[in-house]
Amino acid sequence: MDSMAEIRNTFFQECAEQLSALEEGLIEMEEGAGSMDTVNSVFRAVHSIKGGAGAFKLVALVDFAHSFETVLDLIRSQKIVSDQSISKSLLRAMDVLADLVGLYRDGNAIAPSVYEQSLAELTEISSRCGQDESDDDELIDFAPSQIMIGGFADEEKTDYEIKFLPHARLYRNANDPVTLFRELGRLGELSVSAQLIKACEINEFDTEESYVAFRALISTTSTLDEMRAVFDFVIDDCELEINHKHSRSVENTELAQDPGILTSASSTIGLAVAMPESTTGNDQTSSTEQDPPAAELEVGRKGTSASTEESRDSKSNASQTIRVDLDRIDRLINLVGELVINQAMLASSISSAGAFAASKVSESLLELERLTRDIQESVMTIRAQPAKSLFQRMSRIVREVAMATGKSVRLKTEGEATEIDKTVIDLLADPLTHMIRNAVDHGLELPDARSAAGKPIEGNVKLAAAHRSGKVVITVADDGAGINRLRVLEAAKSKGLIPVDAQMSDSEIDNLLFLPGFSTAKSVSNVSGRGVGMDVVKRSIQALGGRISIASAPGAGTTFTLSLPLTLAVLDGIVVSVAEQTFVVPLTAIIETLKPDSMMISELGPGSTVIKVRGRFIPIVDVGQALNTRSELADPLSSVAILVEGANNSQRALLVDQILDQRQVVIKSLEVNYGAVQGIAAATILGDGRVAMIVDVDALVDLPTKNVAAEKYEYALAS
Amino acid sequence: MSLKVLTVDDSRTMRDMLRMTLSGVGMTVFQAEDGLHGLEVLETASPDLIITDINMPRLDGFGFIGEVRKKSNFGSTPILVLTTEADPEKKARARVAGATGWIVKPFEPERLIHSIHRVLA
Repeated sequence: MDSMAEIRNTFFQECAEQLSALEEGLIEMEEGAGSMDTVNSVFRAVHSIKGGAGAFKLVALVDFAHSFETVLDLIRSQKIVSDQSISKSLLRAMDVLADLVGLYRDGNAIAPSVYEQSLAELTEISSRCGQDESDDDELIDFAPSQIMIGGFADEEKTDYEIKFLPHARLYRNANDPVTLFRELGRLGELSVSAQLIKACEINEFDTEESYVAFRALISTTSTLDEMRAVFDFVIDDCELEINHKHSRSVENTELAQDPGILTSASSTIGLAVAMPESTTGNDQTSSTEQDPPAAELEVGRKGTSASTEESRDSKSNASQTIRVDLDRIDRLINLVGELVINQAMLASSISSAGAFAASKVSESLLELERLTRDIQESVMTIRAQPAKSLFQRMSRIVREVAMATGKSVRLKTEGEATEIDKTVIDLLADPLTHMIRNAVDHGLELPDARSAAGKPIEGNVKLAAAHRSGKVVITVADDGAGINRLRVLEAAKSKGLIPVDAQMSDSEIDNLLFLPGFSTAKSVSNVSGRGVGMDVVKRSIQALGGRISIASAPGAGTTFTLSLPLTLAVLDGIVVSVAEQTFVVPLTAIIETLKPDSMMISELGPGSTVIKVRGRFIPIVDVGQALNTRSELADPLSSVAILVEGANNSQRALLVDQILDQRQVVIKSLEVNYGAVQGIAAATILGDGRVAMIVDVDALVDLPTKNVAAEKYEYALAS
Repeated sequence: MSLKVLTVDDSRTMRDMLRMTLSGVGMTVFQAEDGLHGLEVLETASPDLIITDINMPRLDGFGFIGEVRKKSNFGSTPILVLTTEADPEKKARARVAGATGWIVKPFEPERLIHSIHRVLA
């Protein structure tokens, strides 16, 4: 049985779907590509949200959706023609609608400031057509229009006379005077008489023709309106008169004396109207008690004919999906991870047992390996979602920033169908929002500057996603002025981020944007905060195991490229040995590996060494010492230095004994299975069955070492 | 036999609410997600009562009611319109199409059951 809470969840899921359809439709309308179908589906989306919201008494949402719907209805009925300004108002209204849905979903209070402005816009638009919103309250009336309060014995009863002449259509629409009078009978003591108004031959009798008029006398505490409500379904399909009768005793003889609408009182037929003792609904429940429990049937597509199957719209495709708890999927992914490890272990032991490459065992093993990889890839795709949901959020950001900065911007998206791991999508939303904001706020020029530069006034921001060599590549490109390298260089120097006399290449200058504390924004803009630090963006991307790069062409714009792993369940790393233990260093953090020679190493003090790489001095971190696997500092000359970059863009040279392999490893959480260990991000199991720790590069870079002094030296020596 | 009700609404939320309300009082609930789907389900379900939304894709409530009324075996099946539209013009269109009555969303479960009993002879 559906519980109210479950239906509420369904409602919010459905809202998300409707909002997505709404956005698609509104953007089509804005671009002038929308047909009548588009307007209809946009209307339906808002209407549907309003309907559901009403059921849960989400008042602000209902009110707002109602005003929204009113404007859409005017467009639908072609009473107003949508233009750019209306389209923009509608898009803003959609954003507000999404906010309201979100606030209600999360159980937050709704401040009028959330919707006031947009509501005023909508009201203004509908007022152009003489639609007065305030008078429309009837639609959003939550109170039942009829409240039955019984049992006040001392209440004064009033007598009424009701004359009722059904039209033929009343019968055609499956209404029935008997049910109406039965209903009326619940309100008080009722007697009804019927009179034939038309006669016909029995063989010409039409069940949907009206032959009878009725006259009823009722003694009731109900009001006139309550009695009228009984007839509200049929009020336009009949003639109805309800009049006060002051005397309590009503005599049947009055019928004949007062013909009224009863035109030809040729005969009077007594009509027995059953008046059940019980009130609303209860009688039905009890009468079905002996029935087998009601089956809940949802007649699905199996019950429908095949010919209509294909005509189903995309909405129905949604019903071909099933919802699965994320935990179950993660468990499956984890098990497949185990399978991969076991397969590798098996391969390793078979090979060490000396099986020939051409043997049956080896062949089967190859087949198993292929299958395992297929299963792993298939399982990973379960967690994958199209980039579309992420991109849709960005179009809103573009609109907001464009409005705040007075720029005219068009967002173009590409590769919306590209599938990305759900966690990656979730964690990508914030950095991507920063980037999009920056692109509009800092990347694009103001309209005047654009036209002065001979560009179209409307700036473009392109957001694209694609799969490229086992990675997800996301690009954010603007066609603005490009990076002002002179200004960037000056800013970096004045902030002491680089030496005053540093000579840097264009690409090096562009990369200064990722330095913490870097901001060229002349003033604090309310859009991008402090000209939001790209260092934050870079760190978030690195935390996802990804990389970010920047390319800029003066006058033509700037492109940021994110390269992200397809999944967070496996990572590419190099396997290293340190003090006879095996570790994995994630490939995404590694800049290069070096074999140090004596010329490169400088000692700054006891246990504090730096390595000189192309004129820069980088502090050395001995992994063995940092992770307490040995007490003595390794000899850099007999080690391998792995140059890594951690959070805050600081670089370190990790000293390891030997590089053993480069491979993809399945990530096993250490925190879940054991406990957090500083300097270790996770664990994995290698093909030979050994457990290897995956080093946490950020933590190693941040470890409080004696090399802090060395870091301060870094730039001083660089000159 | 318990009463058989066919509910036609494109909103899953509404369908779920109707099902909860109606099956809670022992009715058997059939569901369809728009007018065309409703017509497909109609013969299978052979309902005692139909509750339909107005705004739906493919075939809206007006069209659906009209089609139902054309079928001789459903000519006298009560059809209640469940809609947020309290617009008299819409009510009139629904009536002309053959609707028996209407319930304005959001519905109070008791009111809904009450309305159902009002149209079931």
